[in-house]
Amino acid sequence: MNSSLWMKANVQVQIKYLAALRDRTGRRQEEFSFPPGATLQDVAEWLNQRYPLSLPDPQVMATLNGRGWEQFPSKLSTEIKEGDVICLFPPIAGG
Amino acid sequence: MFEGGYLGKILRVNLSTREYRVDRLQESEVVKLLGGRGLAAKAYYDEIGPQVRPFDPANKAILMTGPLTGIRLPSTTKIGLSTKSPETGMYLCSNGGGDFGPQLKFCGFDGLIIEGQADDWTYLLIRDGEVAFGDASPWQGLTSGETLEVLKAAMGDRRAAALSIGPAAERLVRFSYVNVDTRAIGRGGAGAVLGSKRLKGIAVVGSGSIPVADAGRVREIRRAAIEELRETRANHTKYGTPQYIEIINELGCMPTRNFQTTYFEGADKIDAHVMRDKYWARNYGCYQCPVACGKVCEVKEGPFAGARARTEFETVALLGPNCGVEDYGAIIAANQLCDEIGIDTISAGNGIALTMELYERGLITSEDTDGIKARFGNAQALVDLVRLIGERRGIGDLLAEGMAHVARERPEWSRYILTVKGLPLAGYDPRGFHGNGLTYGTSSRGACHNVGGWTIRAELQSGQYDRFALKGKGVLVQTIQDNRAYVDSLGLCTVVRGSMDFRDNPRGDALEAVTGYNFTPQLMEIGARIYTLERLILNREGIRRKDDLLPERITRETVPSGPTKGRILTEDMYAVMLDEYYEARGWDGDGVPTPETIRELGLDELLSLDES
Repeated sequence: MNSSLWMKANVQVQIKYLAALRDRTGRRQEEFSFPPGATLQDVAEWLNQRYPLSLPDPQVMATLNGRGWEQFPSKLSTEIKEGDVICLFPPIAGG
Repeated sequence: MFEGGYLGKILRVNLSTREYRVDRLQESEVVKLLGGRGLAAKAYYDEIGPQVRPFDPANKAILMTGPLTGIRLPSTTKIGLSTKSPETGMYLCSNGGGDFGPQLKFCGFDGLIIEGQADDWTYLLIRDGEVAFGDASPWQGLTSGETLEVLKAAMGDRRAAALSIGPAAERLVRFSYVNVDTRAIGRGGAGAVLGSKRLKGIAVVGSGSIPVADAGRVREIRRAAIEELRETRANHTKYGTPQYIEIINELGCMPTRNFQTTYFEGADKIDAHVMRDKYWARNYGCYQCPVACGKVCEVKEGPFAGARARTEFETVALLGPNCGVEDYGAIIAANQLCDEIGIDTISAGNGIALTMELYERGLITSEDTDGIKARFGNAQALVDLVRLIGERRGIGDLLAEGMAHVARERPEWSRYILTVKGLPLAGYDPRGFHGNGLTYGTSSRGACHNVGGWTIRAELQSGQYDRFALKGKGVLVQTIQDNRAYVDSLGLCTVVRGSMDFRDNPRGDALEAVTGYNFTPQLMEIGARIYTLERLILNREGIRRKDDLLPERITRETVPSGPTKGRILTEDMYAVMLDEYYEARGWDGDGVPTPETIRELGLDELLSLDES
């Protein structure tokens, strides 16, 4: 992300760290503003810099508005939008 | 044919005659059905006809281990059971952990079939090849946990394992469970079948060993599997299945207030972090399990102080959000009470949620609930209503007969009853994951997330299966069901199956190292064979497409709030998935396996079916 884009930041998303992911980030959730045109790849890089994460990671499930990142046609190139909700959590396997 | 894993003998105990005998395990059946759930289904097909009712002496409790049960590999703990379900009135398969299965094999038996009906309350002690019948009359009314203890004391051997029933099963509550070494054969009411036979419990201890074909290779596989599990299942070790509370809720799939919505606003008060920080006391592991996902929880203060139970996701979901309760202490107390009286927490949670909805709608009053103010969110009412069911008081007496009976008696309440084939829904709302609807609809035992095939990970992770899409779900559910059917026949806990490559593309050599027989290339076909065998049993009991449908709330009410607001799974949408599923399985449009499918799976030969 270059600094000029950063100044125009106006795409605010909510990021939730569920179950054991909370142990790795130290928080339950947060909001952050990304520049227009930011993608899931940008979100992943921001998260990787901020926390001990290396997304994409098969040991971390990541959703955008309730769908897996890999389920979007553009995958990590998918653009995020104002009000999007991103969730990170460990792989789930039945209860 | 087999160099290990099997003992070659089935113990058959008749409670009417107080006699027992040993039958031979049929290798030709083992090759086709593997063990556990597969062999229990075959024995059910042969021995429990459609005319047999659940509490008839002619009903049987058929317990079968798998080739891996008791082997020194991770979590080789499982024993499968089949019987005619008192809750659904049809075929039931269920399984449990603990040490009972391994000890039965140390006695030299692959399985145990209980038949007949005792004149008076009885317990069994199985030591190696000998069976003793004891008088359990003094134990009437004991909790299922207390019964385990007296059984083990009667055996006089610290290694003994046991299974038991609680007072609810004595009263024939139709969703009574079997307590297996503090794990559960939980769903469908197998405990009530034992209750009808006046069998309070069984203790077992053996001094034998189980042969393995290649002991060195088994040791190598064990080491590698434990290493992998320590990494991949670390979250299970720390949080157990309650870790799913937060996740399933955020995904908009949480049964809330009798499935009226799919998001519970109080979930942060009952999630796995709350469990771990305030209530966790220690972990519990089944036989040979390095994961130890069981979480023993204690309530240290407040109105439920002193309560103690091992809470699992399903239990928390159904006793918590589905009853509107956000007090983890109350959930532990209700869980403990369910365990003590011996009932399935999923069915109990559904029954209590129904009661609360009826109460709030004014369709029942405090007179029906013995004075309990049965409002959603009332933590004390949750606990008191469990007791009402166990003691068969007020509406508890009606609920104790199971939801199918409730729907027949009070058809005007049907729109509030969430079942498939009489079995209440588990902890996922299909409006949030449509594949899960097909899971519930086509599960061999009614609305079960395990036997039916747990789709949620695939529906979230795979680019192939969007959670709200319909196409592809038939094949997905079939694949997961077949995988689960063969895993349930191994004697292995599903939590560890990946560590030994028992997935839907099985590759590992663990089974060959144990048995000396290379089952691996056939495992998915064996799963499909078991599933279609179970369907033939269900067909024989009258089950058709009409019985594979989902409850009205799921198909006619949109989700009113939360992340999946506005979602619905209508009958027409569901039919698209169901048609695809039947086609994938080789069943006709009414859900009956075609003659070609029966032949292709070798079931005509296995079941000695006439050409038709």
